[in-house]
Amino acid sequence: MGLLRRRSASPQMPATPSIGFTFRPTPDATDRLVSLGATVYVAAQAKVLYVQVFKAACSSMLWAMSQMVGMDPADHGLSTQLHVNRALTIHDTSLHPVPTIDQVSDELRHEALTSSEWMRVAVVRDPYGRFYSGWESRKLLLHHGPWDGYPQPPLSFVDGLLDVGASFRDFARAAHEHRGIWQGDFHFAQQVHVMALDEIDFTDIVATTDLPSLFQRLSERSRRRIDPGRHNEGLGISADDVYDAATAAICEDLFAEDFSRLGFAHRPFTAPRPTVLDAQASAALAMIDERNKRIEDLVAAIGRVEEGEEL
Amino acid sequence: MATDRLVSLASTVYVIEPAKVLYVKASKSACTTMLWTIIDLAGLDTSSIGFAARPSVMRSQVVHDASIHPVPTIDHVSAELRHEALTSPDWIRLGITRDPYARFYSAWESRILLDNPGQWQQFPQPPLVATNDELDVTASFRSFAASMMTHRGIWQSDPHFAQQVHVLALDEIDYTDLVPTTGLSELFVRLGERVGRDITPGRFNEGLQIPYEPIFDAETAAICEDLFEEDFGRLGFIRREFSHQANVVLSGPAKKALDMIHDRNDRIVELSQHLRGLLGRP
Repeated sequence: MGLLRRRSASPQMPATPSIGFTFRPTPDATDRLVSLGATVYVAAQAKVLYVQVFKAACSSMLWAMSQMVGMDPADHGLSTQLHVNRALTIHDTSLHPVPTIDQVSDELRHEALTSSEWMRVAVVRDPYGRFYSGWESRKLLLHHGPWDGYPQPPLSFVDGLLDVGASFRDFARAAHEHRGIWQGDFHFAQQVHVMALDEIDFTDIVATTDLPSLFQRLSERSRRRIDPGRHNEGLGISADDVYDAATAAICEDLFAEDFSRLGFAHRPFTAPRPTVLDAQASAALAMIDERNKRIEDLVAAIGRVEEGEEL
Repeated sequence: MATDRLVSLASTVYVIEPAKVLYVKASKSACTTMLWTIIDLAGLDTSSIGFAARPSVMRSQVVHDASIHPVPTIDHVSAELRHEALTSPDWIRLGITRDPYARFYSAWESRILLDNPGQWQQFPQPPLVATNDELDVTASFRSFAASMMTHRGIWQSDPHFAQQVHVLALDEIDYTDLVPTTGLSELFVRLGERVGRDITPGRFNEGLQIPYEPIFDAETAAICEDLFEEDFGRLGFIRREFSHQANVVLSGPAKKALDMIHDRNDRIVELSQHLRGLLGRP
């Protein structure tokens, strides 16, 4: 049975819900999670289980989870993992104050996955926006990682200036052709898989557009002020600016289950807006890449020194 | 007749003995390019440079860490070699100079606008003229220039904002060659002839591709001419009138990208501090 049908069968659900659901009772919740471990956070005192969905406000949610257990964001320790800004260091699970489900007792795991007193929450994002954001953050902003080795076209330039929209549309075609590789990565995988939708009985699946009300509820639940801020970095380019009909169709195919099971609607896209970066933005992107590489060097050097090597 | 009277510089004076070239670094005047060039001139491989733990924001800038640069500075060579480098007619004693208007803007862009880490972050300065979505480059630079004039003693103690004649110790070194940045190509040809091989360094100066001329108005130009009076008077640069002004504003992706640069700089600083702590370095 699809989740949307289960949701609409609940008397507490609105008649025409938009995306996901909130406060869905799960009296028949079962402990059957097998596919996730280090992306499922368990805040025992507040009785909140959060499943991380990449490119769906996950940095904000991880800061929120740390606040839920009383950590002042200013006290977050130094991460020596490869993260290009401080906001992203919240992804260092070795520093995060909230344990993941593979680190808690069997009893707590069972309670978190089954108890009707627990909130089991995931945050989901419009697939059009998430697909573009995944590409922008991994490829355009040159966060280096395994995706550097995946099959992909070069970026597209017009008179020496980067054409963001054309580059994304080229990428979308390549990702579609090599979907088995690209969607093996969390940033480009379907959300329903990353959140193990068939293995966790979620009480709350919240769209990124509804985060303020979620933080309000988490504040009430934890009796703490939960105000993590917005940590998603981006160039301010909207998905609406870069999609044409063919690219939208690719997105809808790559993320078919996200559309059908999470309540996101297909939308028409006709003509994308021109999104050629100006000389200053193009130069700034090159500087970002230079700094990303320098951060890689420093992280690698720290690792070598910590292992007793000399620089 | 060249004499050995240098007292005010040490770790910015590089002695390339195999090529008989003494190079004096002037910050914001193609110095990164020149520091890579002298490694080449010395016949060394660029891989001979060690790892820089200091908070350089780019790989190419690690060459500024004199402690790991493979070419010695004048405080690390013998008294005999120092004397020869400063006095011999067989040596080239070389400084690179830059138009003061361009250098002043470039220093502000790299140190303040791009927020590259360093002591200047603690100097008195006005905030950038910016909102979340836009940054007014013209207004920010002009505001900075006026403020720097007020605090010139502090700002011009930093080599990026000091006059070039001081950074070059023009009164203490008998230069054979003072070359403007516009003459670099020809210089590299001459250096290549001197060592019998091509010298072809890349260009390492990063910038936002913002033309500086429209950012200067008469008032800001006058400030620049006052702050760098000796550079104009003694290095042959001409005072100019800036008749065409423009309001340069970073907005949209350029502003967002600038914010990301700042975030990465902060990350580089914290990682560098941690690494230096592990190494027991200050």
